[in-house]
Amino acid sequence: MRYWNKFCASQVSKVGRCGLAFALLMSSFGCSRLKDSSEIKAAGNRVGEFKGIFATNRIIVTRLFKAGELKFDLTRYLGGDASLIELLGVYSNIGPLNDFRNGTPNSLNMLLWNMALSGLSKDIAESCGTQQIVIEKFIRIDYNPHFADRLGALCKEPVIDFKNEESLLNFWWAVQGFDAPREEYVAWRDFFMSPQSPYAKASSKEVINAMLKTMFLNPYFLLEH
Amino acid sequence: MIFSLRNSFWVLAALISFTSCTRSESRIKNTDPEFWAKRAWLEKASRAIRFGDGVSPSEDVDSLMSKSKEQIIDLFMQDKRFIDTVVDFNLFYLGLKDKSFFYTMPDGARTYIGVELSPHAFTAARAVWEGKDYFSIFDMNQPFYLQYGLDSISAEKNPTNKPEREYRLEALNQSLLETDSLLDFIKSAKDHQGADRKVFCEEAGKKLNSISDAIDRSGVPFQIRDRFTGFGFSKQLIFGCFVDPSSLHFEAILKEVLVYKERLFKLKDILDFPGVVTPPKVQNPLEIVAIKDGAFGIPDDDVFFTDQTWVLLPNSSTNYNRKRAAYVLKNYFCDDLTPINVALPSMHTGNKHASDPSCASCHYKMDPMAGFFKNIGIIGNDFENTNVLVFDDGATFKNEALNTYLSAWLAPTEAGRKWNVGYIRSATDSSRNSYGESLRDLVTIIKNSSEVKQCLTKRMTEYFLGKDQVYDTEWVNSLAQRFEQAKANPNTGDSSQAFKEITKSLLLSNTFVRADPEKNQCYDFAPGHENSTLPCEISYLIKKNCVQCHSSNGAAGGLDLSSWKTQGNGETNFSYLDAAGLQHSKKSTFGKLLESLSTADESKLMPLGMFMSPNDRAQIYKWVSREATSISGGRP
Ligand code: HEC
Ligand code: HEC
Repeated sequence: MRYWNKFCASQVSKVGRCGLAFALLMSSFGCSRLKDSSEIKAAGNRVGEFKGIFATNRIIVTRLFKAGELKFDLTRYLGGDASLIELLGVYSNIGPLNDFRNGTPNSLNMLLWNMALSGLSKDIAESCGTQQIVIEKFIRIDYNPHFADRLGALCKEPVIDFKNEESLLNFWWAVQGFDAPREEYVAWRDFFMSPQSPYAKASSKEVINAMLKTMFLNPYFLLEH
Repeated sequence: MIFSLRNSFWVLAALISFTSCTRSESRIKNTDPEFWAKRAWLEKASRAIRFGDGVSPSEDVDSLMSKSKEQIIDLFMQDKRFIDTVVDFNLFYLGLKDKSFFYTMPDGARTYIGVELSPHAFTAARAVWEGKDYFSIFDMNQPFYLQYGLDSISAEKNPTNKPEREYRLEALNQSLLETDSLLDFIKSAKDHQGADRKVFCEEAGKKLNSISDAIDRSGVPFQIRDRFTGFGFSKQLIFGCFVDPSSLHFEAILKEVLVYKERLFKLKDILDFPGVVTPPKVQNPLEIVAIKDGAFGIPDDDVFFTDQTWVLLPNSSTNYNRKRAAYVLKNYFCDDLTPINVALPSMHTGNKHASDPSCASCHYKMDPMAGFFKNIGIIGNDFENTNVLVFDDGATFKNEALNTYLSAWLAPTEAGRKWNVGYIRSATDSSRNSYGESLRDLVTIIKNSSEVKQCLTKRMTEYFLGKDQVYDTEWVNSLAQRFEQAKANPNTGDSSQAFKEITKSLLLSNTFVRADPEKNQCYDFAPGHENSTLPCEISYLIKKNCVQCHSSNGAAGGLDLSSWKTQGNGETNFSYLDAAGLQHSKKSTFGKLLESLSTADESKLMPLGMFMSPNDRAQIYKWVSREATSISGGRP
């Protein structure tokens, strides 16, 4: 029928790429959560499940990009396979009614989430000094001024001003919003502001990449709570 | 803890070892816990009301933060994204939420595919925005929402490059001519008998195809054509030919084709309708063009399900509409068909499954519910008075076979009603049940039942606060009271007000602000709630249905259901003393409880000699069986 076609046609012809090697390394952390998450599913509760690909895409757009931005599509980072959407937590009517599918974290979908969000983190870090992200060389999307400002404040060497955490807090708020409790921020801040941090001597792009990844992969960002 | 977040999961995420290092607390403004908590609430409330959109950096956050939570909710509800949320909730409530609903076209226009699954969800959401009747979600009378415009005419189809409108009109006129030709043919064929009728059917089929081709040429999409002319075209002709040409009834066919021609004539008017020539690019559900109140002569169809939903819930000659019955019970009545043995009346119910106790546990209420659909055949076509029924799988019943099929729903003669069709609350006391015959009757029952309002409220709770979090039933039912009040003021928009007020209560609830709620704990209670030692999932239901006979000062059978505590034997349990005054083990207590709730012997069924609603029973039963299975190694 026409309407299904419309939806499907829009999903094809996406070119993507992925840092598979790194993602594979990362897949190990999926397992550490697997056990308690599947128990949650057994109890049938959406709490502890992914917010889902559509909701997460929306959150990223609101926080990072210009209002009404439509070009941003997180699944571009997944190599252009439309069927992968099904693995990232969606409501689907095909089969049982009202089924939220693949909401429970498992090693496969965590790998996919990780691929997508690592790709995004890297592209944002690469954009330091500009006002827009460049995806796959040709898709350019403007940041909203608020985010551009917060990002810009960190795109300098050295990234971290050990006497002043303001730019860190502002960056956390811009990306993570207020989804996670304050303790999460404190732990994150302390990690990056520690002189013993492996990132203490890294370049600003490396640090920002790591900061973004750790925020995006925080369960408060990805999961219902 | 539902999931342990405190161990800073992100550290693992980066595959870097955590170096603990404590720093002095922040000196920066706005990190005090109260600010953080309200700001987190603001974000969550924004997403809940404004269709997943959090507070955007371009909004005046300071001004929002200075307002009360109530004021913030009111403000957010004036944002058009709230309509999307209501549509989304409605589809969730109706069990039709689908990923494609979220789809935005590359040019920014939204496609509202849900409208083809359920116009009800959209009508009711628009009603909330416009202050009209939210309960229109139950109405069968739904406008036709125009999702698609006319198909474009390719140069290939139109080689002489005629003006588009002229080309379309010619095609539609052609379809009228073809219809005339069919009418003439039917008149002349009236006397055809026997084998001739096969020939008749072949010829008629060709003419039908010509009509349909002409409409296709005009570029009127099938969704519009079907709504104007009715899917069945002429049921008598199509299904008559399909099933048994010898049964063709020419007078009836003539009548149907004449009606069809009339509607086809009206279809020409749509060519000039702005919304169809250039369909507006909609950004929200308010902008979808609705054709209603008989405009263009489109009859107000009775829509219980749409074609798409009928197909999602197909019926077969062996299914007896049970899939649909289960759908209605689950979605409108929150009855998930937990199999609990029921006491059956001694008289025969006329249905084989309903008389075997283990099958009856579901079928006693499912089969009568299925009866509302008894005349519905392929893709939702009503076959009443046609002497034939074609099922979704193509199987066909007529005459004798059809009568046998329908007789599954005949009530026993002593019942005093023709059909055993209805919403069943009690297998033994028919005065508690709501009977009817048609889908219209079902809608009336749905609109009038308190169960439906409680279920709707429960779904709102699940939608806004989380699915399968445990909620105190008394609290949910106290919120549902607001819908009950609105029923008393039909058509005033009070039901929309009720919808908003209940949503507001949910966003102001304790559960909503909990970041990491315990699944089996209740955080909100009805006004006047008395503390109880019982698990909150069932404490209200036990109090309502059992405690009058099973309390500390009148423990029938030695069982006190009014408190839940550590007993002498060290188990957390109800107090339940045997004849010698000794506490029963938890295992034996829960074994008895299970039996008391599900025995088919009415003289032992609890609550003794009293009625308890099937939903209450199912909820207590589910808790009891979960507790019973969790007892392991307990001494009997
Ligand atoms: C837990 C509740 C439950 C119990 C117990 C139950 N049924 Fe059903 N039954 C259903 C539901 C729900 C359907 C509809 C399934 C569907 O089509 O999606 C159904 C469908 C059927 C159908 C139609 C199957 C078809 O052709 O599509 C038959 C026949 C049937 N049940 C017979 C029985 C018999 C016999 C028993 C006892 C042995 C029984 N059922 C016990 C819930 C139940
Ligand atoms: C109208 C009074 C009444 C109500 C209400 C009532 N019961 Fe009973 N119940 C009794 C009586 C009387 C007995 C004792 C029957 C006997 O000893 O044979 C009993 C016995 C029982 C027993 C078995 C005790 C035993 O040792 O045999 C259980 C279990 C039980 N009830 C559970 C419940 C539950 C659960 C509810 C609420 C859903 C409930 N009852 C509501 C009157 C009631």
